Amino acid sequence: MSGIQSKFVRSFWIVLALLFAADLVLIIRYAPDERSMGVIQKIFYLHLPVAINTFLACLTTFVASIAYLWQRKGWWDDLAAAAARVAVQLCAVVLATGMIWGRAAWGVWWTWSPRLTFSLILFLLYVVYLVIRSSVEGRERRAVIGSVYAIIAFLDVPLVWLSARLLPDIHPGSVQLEPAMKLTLAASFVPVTLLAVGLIFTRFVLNRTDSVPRNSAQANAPRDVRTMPLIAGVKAIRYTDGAL
Amino acid sequence: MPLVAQQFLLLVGKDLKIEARSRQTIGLVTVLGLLIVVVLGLGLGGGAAGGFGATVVLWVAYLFSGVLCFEKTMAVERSESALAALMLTPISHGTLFLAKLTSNLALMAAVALVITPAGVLFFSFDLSAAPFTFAAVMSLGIIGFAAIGTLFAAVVSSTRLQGGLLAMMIFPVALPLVIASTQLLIHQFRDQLPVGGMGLGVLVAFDAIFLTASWLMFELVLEP
Amino acid sequence: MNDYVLAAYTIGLLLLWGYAASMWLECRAAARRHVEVRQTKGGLP
Repeated sequence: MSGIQSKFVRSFWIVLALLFAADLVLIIRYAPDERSMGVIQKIFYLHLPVAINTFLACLTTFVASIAYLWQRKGWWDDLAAAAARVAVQLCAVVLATGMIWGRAAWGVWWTWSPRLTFSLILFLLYVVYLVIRSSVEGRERRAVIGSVYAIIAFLDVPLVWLSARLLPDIHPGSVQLEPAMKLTLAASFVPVTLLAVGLIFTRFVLNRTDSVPRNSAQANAPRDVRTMPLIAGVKAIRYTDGAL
Repeated sequence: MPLVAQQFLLLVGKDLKIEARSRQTIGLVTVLGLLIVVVLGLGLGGGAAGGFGATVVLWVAYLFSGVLCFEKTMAVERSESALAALMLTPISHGTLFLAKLTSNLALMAAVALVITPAGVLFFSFDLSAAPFTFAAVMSLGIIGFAAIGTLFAAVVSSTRLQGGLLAMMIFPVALPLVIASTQLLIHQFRDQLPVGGMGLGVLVAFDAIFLTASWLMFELVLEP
Repeated sequence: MNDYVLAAYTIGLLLLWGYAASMWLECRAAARRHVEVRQTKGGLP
C-alpha cells in the first residue's frame, strides 16, 4: 500500500516537472510573438493560469471554511489553511509577473491599475488570514476565527474587483489571441493547475501531521519506516480522521 | 412594540448611556480622528490633489478612529463579564449584533460630524456642487465599515491578541469602500460626472453583503 | 528571449517550485519525527 502511494507521489512530481518543461518549449518555440507588445506578451502564459488558480485556491479556502463551521471537523480547517497558504504563494507570482510585465510594457514597476491593485489587495487579504491564524491560541478558536475571516475575505473579493475597475487603467484593452496562442494558453493551464493542486494537497498533509499530538497512541501506531516521507503524512490523515 | 425591538432599544440605550456618562470613548476617538486630519493636512499641503485629498484623508481618519472606537465599545462588554451575562439572557445574538452596530454607528456619526467639516476645511474641498452626494457616499461607506468592524471587534476582543490585529483585519476588507467612495467623489467633483451606478452599486452591495454576513456570523465569534 | 520574460519566468517558477521543495524538506522532517517518537518508545505502540 505504502509502496504504491509513494510511487504515485514520486511519479506525480516527476511528470509535473516534465509537463512544465514541455510547456516552456511550447511557449518559447510554438507561440508566436504578439503584434503590438512583442515577446513580452509571453509572460501572459504564466501569469493568467496562476491568476486563475489563485482564485480557485481562495475559493477552496472559502468552501472549506464554511464546511468547517458546519461540520466542525478539523481537517476542513487544515484544508482551508493549506489552500490559503498556496493562494498567497500563487498571488505572489501573479504580482511579480504582473509588475515585470508592467515594467516591460509601460516602463513603470507599479501603477494603481485595476489588475495590479486587485492582485495586491487579494494578496493582503490572505496574508492577513495567515497572520491571524498564527496569532490565535487554541486549535478550535483559531479554526473558528480563521473560518469567519476567510468567509468575509472571499465575499470581499468580487467587491475588490468591482471597485478596482473604477480606477484609471493603463491597459490598452483586451488582447487579440491567435489560434496558436490560444492553444499554448490552454496547454499552460494543465501543469499550473496540477501544480496548484499538488501544493495544496502537500500543505494539507503537512498540516494534518502537525495536528496529531506528538506522543499520542495515534502518533505511535506502527508504520513502515521505509515509506517515502510524504506518505507518513498521508497515513496520518487516516489516523486523525474525525479528531480535531 | 415587538419584543425584539424592545430588546434592541434597551441594548442601544445601555451602550449610549454608558458612553454619555463616561464620555471616554467619544473623546479619544474624535481627537484621534482630528489629529490624523491635521497631520495629513499639514503634510500634504492644503490643496492636495485639488482638494480631493480630503476624501482619502477623511477615510484614513475614519479607519483609525473607527478601529479604536470598535475596540473600546467591545472592551466595555468584557469588563465584569457583562458579555457573559448578556449571552445568558434570551436576547438573540442577531439582536446583540444589531444593537452593537447601531451604537457603534452612533459614535462614528458623532465623530464624523466633527472631523468631516475639519477635513473639508483644511483641504479647501468645494462641496457646493453636490453636498448631499458627498454625505450619502461617506455615510454608506461608514455603515459598511462599521458592520465588519463590529464583527471583527467581537473576534479580536475574545482572544488575548496583540494590538493592531483589528486594524489588520479590517483594512484590507474595507478597501473596496475606500476605493469606491474616493473614485466616485473624484468623478463627481472633478469631472462633473454624476454619481455612477457602478460605484454606488459597490457601496450598496458592500453594505448589504456585509451587514447580512456579519449579522449571521456574529454568534459564532461571541465568547464570554 | 527578452530579459524581462526570462526574469518573470525565473521568479515565477522559483516561487512555485521552491515552495514545493521547501515542503518536501518539511515532509522529511515530519517523517523523521514520527520515526523518532516510535523509536524512543522501543518500537511498541
